[in-house]
Amino acid sequence: MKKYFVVFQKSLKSEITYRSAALAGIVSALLSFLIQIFLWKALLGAGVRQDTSFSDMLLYVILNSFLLSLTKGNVASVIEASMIDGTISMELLRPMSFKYYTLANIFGKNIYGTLIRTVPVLVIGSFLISPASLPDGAHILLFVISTVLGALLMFEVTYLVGLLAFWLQRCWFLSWYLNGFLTFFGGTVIPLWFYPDFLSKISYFLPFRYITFEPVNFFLGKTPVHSAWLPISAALLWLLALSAVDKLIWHAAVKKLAVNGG
Amino acid sequence: MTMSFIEVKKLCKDYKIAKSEKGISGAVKSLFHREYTVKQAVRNVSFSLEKGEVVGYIGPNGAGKSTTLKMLSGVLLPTSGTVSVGGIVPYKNRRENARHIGVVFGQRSQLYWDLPISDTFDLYENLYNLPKEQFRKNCDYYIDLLDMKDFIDQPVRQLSLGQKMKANIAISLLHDPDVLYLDEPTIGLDVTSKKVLRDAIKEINAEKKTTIILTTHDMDDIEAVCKRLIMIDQGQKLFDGTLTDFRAKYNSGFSLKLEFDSVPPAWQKCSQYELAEQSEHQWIVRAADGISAKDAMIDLINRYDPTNLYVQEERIEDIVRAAYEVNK
Repeated sequence: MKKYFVVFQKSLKSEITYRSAALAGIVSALLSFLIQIFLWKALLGAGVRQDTSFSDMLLYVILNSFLLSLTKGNVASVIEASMIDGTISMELLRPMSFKYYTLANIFGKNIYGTLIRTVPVLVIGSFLISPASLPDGAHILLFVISTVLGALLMFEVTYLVGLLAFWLQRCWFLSWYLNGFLTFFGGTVIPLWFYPDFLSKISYFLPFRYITFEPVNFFLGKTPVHSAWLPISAALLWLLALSAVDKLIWHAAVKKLAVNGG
Repeated sequence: MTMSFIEVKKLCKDYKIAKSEKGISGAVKSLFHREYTVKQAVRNVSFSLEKGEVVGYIGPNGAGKSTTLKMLSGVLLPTSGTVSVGGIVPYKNRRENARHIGVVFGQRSQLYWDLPISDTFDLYENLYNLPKEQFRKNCDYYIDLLDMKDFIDQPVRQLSLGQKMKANIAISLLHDPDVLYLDEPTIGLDVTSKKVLRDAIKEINAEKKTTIILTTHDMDDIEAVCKRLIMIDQGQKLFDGTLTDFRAKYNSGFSLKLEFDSVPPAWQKCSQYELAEQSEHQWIVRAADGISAKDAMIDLINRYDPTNLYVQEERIEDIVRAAYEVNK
C-alpha cells in the first residue's frame, strides 16, 4: 500500500516543479469561471427556471470543475506513449499493479492543479454564493462519500477506455469520445435537470451522471437523504462492474503484449 | 543431472507482422482482411549459465538479442521452447521473477524526469519493500561505485546520458537481484563513461556475484567484462564459448601495420598476405592462418622495406564482422 502512496507523492512533486503551468492554470480557471458567471446570470435573469437560483448554479459550476480537474486523466495516451517507446514492458517488470500505479499517478498529478485552480475561484465565488445554497451536515457527508465514488468511477471509465490503446495504433481520439459522453450524459456543463425527460432517463442507466452530477446534487441538497441510497448504490454497482471488466481486458492486453511484443 | 542457474532450451519466438498494402484502398482492404507474415525472431536457441557468470550476448541489429532478454525477463511468451531462471519460469511467474532480476534497457529510462535521482531511489525502496538497512547500504555502495555523488540531487532532465545510465543501473540493483540483464548499456556514451561502467559491471559481478547478461555492439565492452560470448544472427546461435575460443574459431590470423616514409612500393599479390587497408604512407596487411609472426615480419621487410612495422592481434570487432559476413 505504501508504494502507491510514494507513487502519488512523487507524481505530485513532479507536478509542483512546473510553476508557470500552475500560473496558466489559475488564469484559465478564473477566465472560464467569469464566463460561467455571465452566462448563468443572463440565462437565469431571462427566467429560464425558477427553482434554480444563481447562487446554486455558481456552486454547481465550481464543484463540477473541481471534481473534473481532480479526476481527469488521459490513460489512453499514457499507455499509447509507453507502447511506442517500449517502456510498457519495463512497467510490467515493476512489482506493482499497473492499475493502482496509474491511479496513484493520476491523482498525484491532478491534486496540485486542482487545488491551485479551485482556491482563487472559491475566493471570488464566496462573495456571490448565498448561505442558503450551502448544505447541512448529513448532505456534506453524502457529498464526500459520493465524491470519492465519483472520482474512482471516473478513473475506472478512463482506465477502461485507455486499455483499448493496446489494440489501436493511435488512440488520441478515444478521450474525445469519452469527454463527449461525459459532458452530455454526465451533465458537467448543463445540469441534467434542464434536460428533456427521455435524455435524463437514459442518463440513469449510464455511469456518467454518478461521476460529478450526483455528488453536486448532494451538496446542493437536491437529493433528499432518504433517497440517497439510489445514486450511491448505482455508483458502487458501476464501480464493481467496470473493475471486473477492466480485469478481463487487462489480462487480454498483457497476453497480447506477451505474444506480439511491445 | 543438475540444472544450471539459467536454462534456455530450444527457444523460439515468432512475430506475426501485418502486411500493410499501399494507398488508401490498401488501408481499407486491411480493415476487413489482413495478411500476415511470420518473422522468426529467435530460432532454436539453447544455452545455460551458471550463477555468477558474465556473458556477452552479441549480434547485429535485429538478430534477436532484445527478444531473448524479454523472454528471460518474462514479458514475452516464447512460441516454443523453455526458459528457467533460478528455478522460476519467467513468463509464467512474471512478478515473482521480477523480484529476482534487474533489467536495464539502454534507450529507456526508469527515472522520474523532473525529480532528482534520489526520488526514484525512494520509489524503488518502497516498490521492493527493502529493509532500511539494505537500502542504505546499497545506495551508498552504488553511489560510490558509479561516482554519482555530484549529481544525485539534480533533476534528471539536467543530467547527461552517461549520468542517467549510471542511475538506471543503480536502481536496477538496489534490491540485490540474482541476475542483471543489460541491453546496450554503453550506447551513446563517451569513452570515459564507458570505462567507468565497464569497471563497475566487473566490480558488481565480483562483489555481489550477480549473474550478468550483456548485449552490446561495442566489442570493447565484451573484451573488458566478459569471459564468455554468445553470438546470434538472424535468430540463430552461431557461437557460444570463451573469448579465447572465439578468437581461435573465427580469427583468420593477425595483421601487420607497415609505415613508409615515402610512397610505398607496388603491392605484390600473393596467397599468404592480403592488403586490407591502404593509405598514403601506411598499409594494413592481413596474414593468413599458419604463418608465424616472425616469418611474416621478415618476409614483409625483405619485400617492401617499410620504415616501421607493427604486429596487431585482430580486434574482436573485426572478427565479429567477418563472422556475420560468413553467415550471410
